[in-house]
Amino acid sequence: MLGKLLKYEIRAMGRIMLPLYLVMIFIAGLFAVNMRMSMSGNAKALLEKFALITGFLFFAAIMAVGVVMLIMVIQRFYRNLLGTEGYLMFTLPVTTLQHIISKALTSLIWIVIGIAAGAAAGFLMVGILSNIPEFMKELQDTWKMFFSTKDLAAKVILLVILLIIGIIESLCKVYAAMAVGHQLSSHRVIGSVGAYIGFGIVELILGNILSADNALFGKLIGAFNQAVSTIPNSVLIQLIIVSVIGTAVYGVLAWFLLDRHLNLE
Amino acid sequence: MSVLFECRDLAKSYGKVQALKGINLQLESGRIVGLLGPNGSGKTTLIKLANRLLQPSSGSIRIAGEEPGILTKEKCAYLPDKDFLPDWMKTSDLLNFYGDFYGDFDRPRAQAMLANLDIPEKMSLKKMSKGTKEKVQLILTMSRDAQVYLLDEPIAGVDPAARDYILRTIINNYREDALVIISTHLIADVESVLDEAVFLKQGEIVLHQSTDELREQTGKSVDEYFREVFRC
Repeated sequence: MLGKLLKYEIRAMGRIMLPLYLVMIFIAGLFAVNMRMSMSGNAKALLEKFALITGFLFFAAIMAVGVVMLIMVIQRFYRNLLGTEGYLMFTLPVTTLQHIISKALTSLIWIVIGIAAGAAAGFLMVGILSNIPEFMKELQDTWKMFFSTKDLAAKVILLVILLIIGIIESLCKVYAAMAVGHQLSSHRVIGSVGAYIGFGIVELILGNILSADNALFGKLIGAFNQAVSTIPNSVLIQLIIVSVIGTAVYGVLAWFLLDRHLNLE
Repeated sequence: MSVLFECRDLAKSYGKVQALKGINLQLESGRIVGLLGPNGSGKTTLIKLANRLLQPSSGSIRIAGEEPGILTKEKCAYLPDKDFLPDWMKTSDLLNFYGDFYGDFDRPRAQAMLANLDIPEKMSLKKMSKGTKEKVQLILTMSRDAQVYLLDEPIAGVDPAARDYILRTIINNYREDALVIISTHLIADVESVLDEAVFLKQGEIVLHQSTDELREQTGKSVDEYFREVFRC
């Protein structure tokens, strides 16, 4: 059943996100073409203006992708599970946990596709503006450098894992905040925002208490102020563990409230 | 006949407000039961509890011998009193959706009913009128070969012609060994299809009787008797 939920969820988000990603890539290409033409063309002043406009559009498209993604994450959970569509979703023969996993995984998938689309836009611009073979060689060199030593390779892998777990933790935190706000009979949106802020405050307090008493958490907080390459792998692993704990806490809270205290209008 | 719906001392409170006050009820297969009561009498709360959209404050509720959960959701076809379908979906998407999630969904039956009403499968719900949307919702619900149908106010908010269609759809499409529970306060419109009536008043069952017996004993129609019991 999780597969079926994922199928519909991926489609529901994709109908908004996919066109947006394609528009972003298209604008990136347009921007790069204008830039290239303005560097070599005859009607330089006019082309420069076009380049400026498309450059601004590209920047706006990146911002739009971020904002729309955030809105979609909230809307897919709030409207589909906590709004009137919840009457359909919560009477399907699936568990509450499967609902939460399908929402989180789908958002993660579209965020990763978004990162890939951003990279594709970057490649397109570099391809149009400069020499592709040269760029590919540079990319290969960087790739080789990443994996030149076992330690650096491990660091890259750990950072990717941390990024993915971090995204899932953030999603679960947003879901838990909405589930808390949903317990109110009115002003549910304000309640959700309040809960999200509350979680942040609790995290800060916990962080302070643990870092004062515990060398490990002091190291973890210190790690954020260091250059990535200097963070020891052991600290990255500890950060991943903290993130997994955060995911579990927010995930269980969201599950408990939706499963035991569902309060559909 | 077997008991498909059973409540024992079932109570539900919202804060200090008691929506259901420890009701006991047994409903058997092969019956169409009217859950009748004015607004706020606890009808929707009872149906939500049966669908596990709410948890009881105390007591128990069982559908085909099981507590509400995944197993009972496979056996229950539920029509809420709200527009509950995603409006960006086309009718054909919804046929796929129901087919994917419910093993008992009879797609050809749904398609025949849609064709009968000239509802295009390629039209999204947001382009449909309120009445057409409600018909799509009912068609999807009644195209399941469920054991229990829970229909919450299926005829409220639609014109009299649509009401007739909805009632015909309900009668023609449920399995003979199934139980149909229709919650409504529009008694006159549904009276002709009901085998049993359950009157809910302020969270309590004040009557549970076969409609034939009720008419015989009181010399009144169910609608007339309802108006007498619930006179303001």
